[in-house]
Amino acid sequence: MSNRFITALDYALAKAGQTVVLRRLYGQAPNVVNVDSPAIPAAVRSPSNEELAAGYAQTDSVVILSPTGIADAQWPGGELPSATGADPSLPRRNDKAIFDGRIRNVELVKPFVVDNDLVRIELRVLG
Amino acid sequence: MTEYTLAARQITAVVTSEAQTAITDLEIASAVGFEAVWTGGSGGTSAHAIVQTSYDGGTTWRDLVRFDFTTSAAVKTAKRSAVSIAAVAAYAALSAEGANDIPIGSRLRAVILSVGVFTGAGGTLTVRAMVH
Repeated sequence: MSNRFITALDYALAKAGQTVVLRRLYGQAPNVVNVDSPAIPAAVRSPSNEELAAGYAQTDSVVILSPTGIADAQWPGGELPSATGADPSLPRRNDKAIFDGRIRNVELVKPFVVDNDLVRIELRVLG
Repeated sequence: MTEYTLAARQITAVVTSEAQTAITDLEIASAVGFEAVWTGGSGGTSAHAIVQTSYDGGTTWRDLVRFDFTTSAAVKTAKRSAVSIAAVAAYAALSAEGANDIPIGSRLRAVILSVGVFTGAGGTLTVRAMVH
């Protein structure tokens, strides 16, 4: 994680961010279990004008994460190795993001990759 | 103390020795606790989780502890306390509810298996490690 973009984002999140807990749900009702991350540094903001024009709702939030926090926590832990190559540590639609005392649903995940390194993750969350 | 989830797996169809991805880069642990939670399920026969560790970067794996469940919901725990020198003993894979008194390597993983087909939502088996 020595990528300079990651280093810069980690610094910014540590200085000006807040923490978010990620939650993935496994199983099917009534046997659903939660796998929560520890509190991960993040930045949370309202949608921009461009995002509102693109269909985001004013009740949505945008959560910015660094891959460092997720990697340090090794969230979500052990999983069946993906047959499709999907990275289990990348949040998925219908994961949860918990912050400011509320549980919000992950609607959209936007990973940013530079030089083959995942350097930033943006989530559109609702709730 | 750091908590890790080694497995969280819905079980319906038969699972045959399915290794989950490993937790890596563990610091030297003075104690490790394990918890296995099985929600229970109907139709099948049994569900099992074997926690393993590796001393060679994940090439070979050694059994640490094994949890076995029937169709009933249950929570089971195990712990390995402070590192001590045990007598030399031949390593053996674990049978039911067994535990091996062996060191913890830098990696942990869970292997899940089940017997019989659990109907409906099946059951969910969760294995967590608490590393002190």
